[in-house]
Amino acid sequence: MEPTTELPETLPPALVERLRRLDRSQPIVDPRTDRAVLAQATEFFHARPRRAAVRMRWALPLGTAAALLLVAVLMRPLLLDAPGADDIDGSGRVDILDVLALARDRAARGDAAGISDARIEELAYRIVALDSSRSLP
Amino acid sequence: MSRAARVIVAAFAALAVAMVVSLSAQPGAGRFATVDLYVASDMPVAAWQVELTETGGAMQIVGIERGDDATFRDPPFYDRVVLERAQTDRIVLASFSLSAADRLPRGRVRIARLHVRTTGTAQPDYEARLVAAGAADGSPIGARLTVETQPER
Repeated sequence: MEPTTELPETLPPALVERLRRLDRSQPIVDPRTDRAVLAQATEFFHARPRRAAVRMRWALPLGTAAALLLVAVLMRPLLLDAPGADDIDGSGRVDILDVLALARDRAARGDAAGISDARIEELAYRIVALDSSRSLP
Repeated sequence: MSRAARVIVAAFAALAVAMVVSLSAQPGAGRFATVDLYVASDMPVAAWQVELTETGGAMQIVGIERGDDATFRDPPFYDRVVLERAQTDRIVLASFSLSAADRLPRGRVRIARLHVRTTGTAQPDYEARLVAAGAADGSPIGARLTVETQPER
């Protein structure tokens, strides 16, 4: 047995007691430091709600504007290409009768109707398109 | 007939038989047919819109003509991409006329003719739907739509 590498199985009680006292956690912050940290934290968190309120004052209008812009962008195809714009005869659907109505209007009033042949053809080709999202000839 | 001539004739005969067998064995060789669309109405028809669907097999539309009445445009409106596709199972046709009511067709009249090529062994099954039909004043009218097919010679 080598005394430099192996410990005895039992230690003297006095040594054990001293080692236990050393092993106990020691306070590393004294009460003055603790109070200082508390004071600074209180000051920090006291000021924080006011800054949040300032941000919230801008966040609401900005959020509303962003939401309106998003809705406008999403609704744009529906608004601009609304079936109602091509439902000339007011039947509730767009078909060849709307093309006929446009053509009859143009034939009756000529250029005063403000309807071009291209507009009539465009609507006619749109109603026969198998894929309505595709551009037409 | 010399021996060389008999050999040449036999070679051509074998080639002809091989070609016939090859063509008849090709499943995609296809058959051509015409599909006629008829509308029957007691009132003069000034506008019509039809949707034709083929549910039985592969259909390729190779040509579209107007019907019997010359007051309608030739051909009717249709999606031009349909003819560019190799196959399609649906097409929408429409046309109108600004002629006076007394010049418009009434009764049973052919409004369009489609030339189609079908492939496969299944018989084509056409379904046609009259989307709209209108009188000269633009008002909708009731009409009956029928489809007739016949093989092309």
